[in-house]
Order: sequence, then structure tokens, then C-alpha cells
Amino acid sequence: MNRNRSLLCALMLAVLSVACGTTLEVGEGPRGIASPEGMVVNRRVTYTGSFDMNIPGVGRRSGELKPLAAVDAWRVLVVNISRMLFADGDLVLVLDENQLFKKVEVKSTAGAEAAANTGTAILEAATDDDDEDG
Amino acid sequence: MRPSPALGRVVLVLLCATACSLPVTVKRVDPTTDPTEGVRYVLQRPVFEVFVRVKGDVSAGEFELVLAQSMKPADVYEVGVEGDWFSDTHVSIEVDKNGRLTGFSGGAEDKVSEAVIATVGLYTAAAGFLAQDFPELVGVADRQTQPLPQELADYKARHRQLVDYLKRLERTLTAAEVALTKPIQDPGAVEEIRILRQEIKDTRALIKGHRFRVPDKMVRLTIGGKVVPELAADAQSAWIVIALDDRTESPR
Repeated sequence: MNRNRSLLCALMLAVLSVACGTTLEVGEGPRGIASPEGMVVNRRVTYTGSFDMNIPGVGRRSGELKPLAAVDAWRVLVVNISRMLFADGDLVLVLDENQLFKKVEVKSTAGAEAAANTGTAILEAATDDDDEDG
Repeated sequence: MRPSPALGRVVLVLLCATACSLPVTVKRVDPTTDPTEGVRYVLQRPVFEVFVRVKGDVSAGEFELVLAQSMKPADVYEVGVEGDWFSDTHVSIEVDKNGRLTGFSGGAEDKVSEAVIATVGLYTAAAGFLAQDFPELVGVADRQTQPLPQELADYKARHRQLVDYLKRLERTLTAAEVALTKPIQDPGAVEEIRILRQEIKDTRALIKGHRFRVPDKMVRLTIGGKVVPELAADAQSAWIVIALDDRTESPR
């Protein structure tokens, strides 16, 4: 019985590690966020707009602005990684002059083999115990 | 003495239920009062600027309205490094000479298996993406040619002066280059041509950057219905109202 439970445990660990590994977490927050859960960088946004102009001597004019690719004036991004046990994780950020993402790289190492070996070792320990009990 | 398998299972299941994050803590600090406890970096905040500039030939008297965004240092964040249990951590933070964050690298190599039971590691996947190049941060008034008024008369006059000056320089340069081909040459002709070419280059750059900034008191800029504080207008009879909408969003 111990042997079956240990085998099940090892399989669960392996499946969990394969499924999770390391994931990139990108969240939004208000500009000036005090306690972010990760690195804070600027957020990319595209504005569309219109203008209404009234200058003395000219009168009133109005029209549309071309789309403005810009930095968000109100919100920022909070970047983090979520790494499960047995998995290795690396995050690499490269920012441009406006502190927007230029390059983002996540290295995720799923710990399937590590988990399987760990479970196997437990299994062997349980088997030894069963033998000793028997 | 061998550890109990049941205890091992309990420990591993508990550990497995825990997810780890970057091996850093990040907090916003006041650089003038808070003691330094980590590596600091500056996050820039965008500000908006409204100006007009000559469009095409100055003699046509056409201007275009331009909304531009520039970046100013604002919030200061401090990064502290903290390791996880049973892991090797590494953190690299890159800032430029002004303290702006330009790059970050951090992560952890799991050592749980080594700590609990002897085992091996495995490297598998890597993923990355490149964001698109960021275009120029300028939005130009579409199809609008604004015949602006007396307030811009000085700007327009100066612009005309610069253009006329450039034309005179170009004519002088042409004459000097023709003279250089003649049998009898002025000893200083080569140096004169070099100076003229440099002056033409500088004047062209001056004309390209020549613009009239619309005074803040005349501008009321709103984004998503909110007035941008830096450019909030007081009560004026003259104004330019620019309303922006956040049209697209992407974490990239």
C-alpha cells in the first residue's frame, strides 16, 4: 500500500512540475505605485484625439490628431515571474530610452525530471521500508 | 537512519504548493529622505507639449499643430535582493548615467531536490519576444492647416529670415565652387567653401527644429476625460483643447 501511495505522489509531482514551470506575470498599476510586486516599467499606449483651438484673431478651429504612439501617462506595468518548485526561472528585461519593453526573455526550466527523481527516491525509500517491515 | 516516506511526501506536497517570484523586493522611495537599502532606479514620467511649426513653404503661411510627448525623471524605485529557500539566485540591474533603468536580469535556480534528496536538474525551454520599434512620439494634426495669427508673427518672421539666409548661403557656395574651377584661384577659396558648407548644415538643422511652443496657459489637455495636471489651463479667452483617448493597450 505504501508503495502505491509513493508512486502516486511521484507522478503528481512530475505532472505538476511539467504543467507549471516558470511563467511571466505582467500586471498594471497606477503611476507612482508604492509597493509593486515586481519591476516597474513604463506602459505603451496609443492615443487618438481631437483638438479644439480658439486663438484671438483667428477664431475657432477643431480637428482630429493622428494616432499618437506614446507612453501611458497614468499607468505602469509591473513585471514578475512565477516559478514553481523544482523549476528554474530567469527573467531578462531590456528597456528602450522611454523605459518601454525592448526585449523580454523568460527562461523556464520545468522540473519534471527533478521531481520524478525525487519521487523515485521516495518510492525507493518506501519500498525499503516495506521490505524491512516484511 | 532513513527518513519516513510519509514525512517526505508531506514536505514535498507543501513545498510544491508554493510558487516563487523574482528574488527581489521593489518599493517606491523618496530619495531625499529615505535611507538607501538597495539599488535605486528612476522611472520616467511622460509630459505633453503642444507647439506649432511651419508646414512646407514659409511663404504659404501654413502651420501645423503638433502634440508631442517627452519624458522627465519622476518616481524612484529601490530594488532589494532576497533569496528563496533552497535556490541559487542572481540579479543584475542596469541603469544609465541618469539613474534610469535600462535592463534587468534576475532569477533563481531551484535546489529543492538537492536539499531534500539527491537529484539532477534539467534545462528545457526558453521563450522571448521582441517588441516593435517605438515610433516617434509625435502626433500631428491631421489634414489641418492652421493659419495662425499675430501671436506667431515673430516666429514666422524669424523662420523666413532663416530660410532666406539659407538661400543666400547656398548661392554663395555655388559661386565659390564655380570660382574654384577657374585657372586663377583665390588661396582662401577652399577654406571658404568648407565654412560655407558647415554654416549651411547648421542653418538647416536650426530650421528643422524651429517651432513655436504654445503657452501652457492656452492649452487644456485631457486624456480619457482627465485633465493632464501639468498643462491644466486657467481661465483664458484663448485656448487649445486636445482630448486624447487610450485606444489600444498591450503589455508589450
